[in-house]
Amino acid sequence: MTAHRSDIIVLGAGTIGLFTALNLARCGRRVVVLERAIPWSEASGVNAGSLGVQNKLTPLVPYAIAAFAIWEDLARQLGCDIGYHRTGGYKIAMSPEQEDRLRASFEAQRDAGLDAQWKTARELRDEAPWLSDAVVAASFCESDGHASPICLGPALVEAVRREQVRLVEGVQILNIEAAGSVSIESTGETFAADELVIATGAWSGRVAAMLGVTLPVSLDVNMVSVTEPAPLTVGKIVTHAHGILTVKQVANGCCLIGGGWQGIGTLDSMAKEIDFDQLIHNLILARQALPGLSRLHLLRSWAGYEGVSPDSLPYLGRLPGRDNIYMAACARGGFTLAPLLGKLLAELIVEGRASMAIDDFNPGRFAHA
Amino acid sequence: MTSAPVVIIGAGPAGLACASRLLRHDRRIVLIDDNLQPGGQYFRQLPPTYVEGKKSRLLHETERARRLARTLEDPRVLYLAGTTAWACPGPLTVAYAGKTQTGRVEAEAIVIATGAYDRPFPFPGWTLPGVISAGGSLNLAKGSGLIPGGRVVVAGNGPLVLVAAATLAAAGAAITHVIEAQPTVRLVSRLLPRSLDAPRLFRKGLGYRMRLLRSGVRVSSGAMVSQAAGHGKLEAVEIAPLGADGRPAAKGRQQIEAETLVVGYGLVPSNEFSRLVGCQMTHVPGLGGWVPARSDTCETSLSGIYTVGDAAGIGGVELAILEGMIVADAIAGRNDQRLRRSYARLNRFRYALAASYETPKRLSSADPDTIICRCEELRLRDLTEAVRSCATSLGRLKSVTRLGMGRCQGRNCMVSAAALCGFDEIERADALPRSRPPARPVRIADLVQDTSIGPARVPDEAISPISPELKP
Amino acid sequence: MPKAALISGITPGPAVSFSFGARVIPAFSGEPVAAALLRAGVEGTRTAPRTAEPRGYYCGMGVCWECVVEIEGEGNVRGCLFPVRDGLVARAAVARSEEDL
Repeated sequence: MTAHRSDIIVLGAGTIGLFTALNLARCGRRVVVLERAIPWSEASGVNAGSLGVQNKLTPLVPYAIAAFAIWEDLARQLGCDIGYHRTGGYKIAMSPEQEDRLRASFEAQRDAGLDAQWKTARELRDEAPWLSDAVVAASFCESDGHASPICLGPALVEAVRREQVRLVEGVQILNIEAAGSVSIESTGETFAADELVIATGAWSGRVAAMLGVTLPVSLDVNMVSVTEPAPLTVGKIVTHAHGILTVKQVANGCCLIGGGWQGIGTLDSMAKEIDFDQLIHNLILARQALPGLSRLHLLRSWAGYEGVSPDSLPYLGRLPGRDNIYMAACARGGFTLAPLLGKLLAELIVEGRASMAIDDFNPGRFAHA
Repeated sequence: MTSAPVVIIGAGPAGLACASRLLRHDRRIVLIDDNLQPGGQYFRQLPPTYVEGKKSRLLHETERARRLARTLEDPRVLYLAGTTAWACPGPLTVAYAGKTQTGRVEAEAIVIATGAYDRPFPFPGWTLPGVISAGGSLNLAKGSGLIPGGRVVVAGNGPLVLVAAATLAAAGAAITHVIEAQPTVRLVSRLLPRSLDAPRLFRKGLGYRMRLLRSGVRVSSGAMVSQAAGHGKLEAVEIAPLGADGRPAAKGRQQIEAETLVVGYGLVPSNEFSRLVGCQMTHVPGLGGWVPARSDTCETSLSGIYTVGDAAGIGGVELAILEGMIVADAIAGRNDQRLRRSYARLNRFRYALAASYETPKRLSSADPDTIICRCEELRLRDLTEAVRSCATSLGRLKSVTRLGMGRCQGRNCMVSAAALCGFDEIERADALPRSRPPARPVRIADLVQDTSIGPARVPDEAISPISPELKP
Repeated sequence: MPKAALISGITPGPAVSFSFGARVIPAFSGEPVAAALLRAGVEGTRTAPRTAEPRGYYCGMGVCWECVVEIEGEGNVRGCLFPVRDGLVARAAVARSEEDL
């Protein structure tokens, strides 16, 4: 059977894969995206939609800010409402220890270029009465906000297709050859290209292994819950000094509660089950921070996979020892960063260098470990 | 007596009958129900502050209801009213939450007796105040002692239509028309041969019909609701002859002024809990759709988890009570052949009854502008547009449009959306979007009262940015 | 629908009243809030946020949530299940912002 030929194959139709494909196609490359199951069905589709700068590690601050610049124009570019709201956000502390931690990250992030303000308890009571008295301090950043994964997914798929990218679903890869040129054998077609992008999120370690590369990727099974609609009260997104809570109220009044509390599942089982104990702990914390959540009915909880690198920084760049294989995955904040990561990777591929430094994200950085 | 109780979810006829029978086998029982009083739908009771006199015009069974409810007074029964069973944290552990009690219980066996609800039947104007479901009209009568106001039209397809109409008429409602979809001739000719399986039920059904005719109500068949109209509330109902394609025929439509429209186009088994805990499901049209696959002792694919009553397949009160008793026996390792024989007959009749209402084409009165998902206000054209562009499955349709994401979590829209978008021909259970906890909406204030939760595994914070040794 | 009516031969609980928005609704202690509203002839008990359509009682058994009302001190409840007590303060369940409605 003759192979389908393109310039670049992108593995994975999540947010990073699709933004990468979009950027590559706009640079004139012929792109095919191969998706294991259904586009947008993993982390991209089931996350809580936080767009945060404050909840990122300090090294990622400049990147989050750059990503926001793309987000600002994204709805117009895609031609539809993607539920983008730059509400601003509070990163809260609920104990003296958390306040110390918050102060440290606040200073570090400001040094890294983030425009944020420190809020005292009194200021918070005044401007955000829906935050509990247990919140002793917070840092406020105008840039934090949220968007709707549900709206963005189909819009992005549509945009990618408009650029003549071929998106193939349900692809089971049997073999990847990438010495020189790329050939991917699947249970269906064979795909050939000059270059390969691995944007397979939690599966990236496995895909790298098929190419003989050890890429440490651990699996998070993040739980998210949603409440019934309520009068719009929570005007800013809420994140936490320890990164263990996110709460936001979206346009239809529903509140989304998350924070990375772990459910139960493995890539082999494809199970994404709720850990009921941890769910309740998540809710207890949410309620401590926003007492108004108490009266709301919880409608649904779910869990999704997220791939994480050992230092929680993204993988972005060439696969070690390979000229024509690239990776963009495991960003831990991928929903926020994806528009930028896709742009940077396309720059690297097309122009030979990205417009921002990406050495810290080198996929080969753990090779010695 | 074993140490772990049997946990029954649902205090309707099936759940109560099961509990009653289990007491005979000296079992402890925990009975969990969302409502504040037992009885489910069929035995729904008036508020406890109400008194019903001998001349009450409310047509309902009180004696059996009382007898079954007395089960709850036994010290071996822990009855958790106003409480929602919301998940199974372990294979035989049930988590429940409510205003007055929240916790978990380890069970010897779990009996899912969650009943059924009205099948959504969208048509233009069905969201108008004044349009209520057949179940809704009966719940108004039995649970609140009320008849709806103004002129009442009752329309639908299925046994509940005449039950609702007859009950409302007996109670004094101004029923002007009763419109059944299935032509009476077809209905009777199909059902009559099987009537010997359940002569009492057959007569009961006939009784409702006779009662209506005697009270001068116009009962017609071969017609369906095509639309409801009014400004902010119902003012008129349009009826049309049944078309060959299952849709309202263009010719012969009739406008009827009315203030209340009672619609009953079938029932749907309440299977959210069974699906949530992972029971293997099977699609049986004669039982109302997706139901758990069961052994002949009503056990699901999950060992120790049983399901009975309408939740296991639409079958009415007599079957529900029988199944409740059969399951109680099975849990106790017993088997009563008389129950089995009664069951066999009623089961045959149940399928015959369902078949007697089958129309050549599935009925629908929805047009592109009709609201299909009431909670999210999605119209049929929103759904078909999404199907056209990218939604190749019901789950995907849901992800893309928000279908079924409102408070009802799909109960009032999924089955109709599936039918209207061509997704119900698929008989694979994985075609159903996943049922996720909580099984029903529960207040966060109630959920967090669970004192039996283990320690928190606080999520790993992203590595501290100021810790130098972690830089590669 | 015009006012729902008590079925003859049924004696309700003690007469009480509660408020629904600006209206005072006469009720019987213990009857579901939605039933009292129907007896008072309150047509729609809430407004669907996007289409601004009125909605009201439908299934009567707590499944559809069309009858949802907000009760002070309780939050959102299903009117068809929640019993009236004297002096209860209720209002239409509000989704989104007051300005949207």
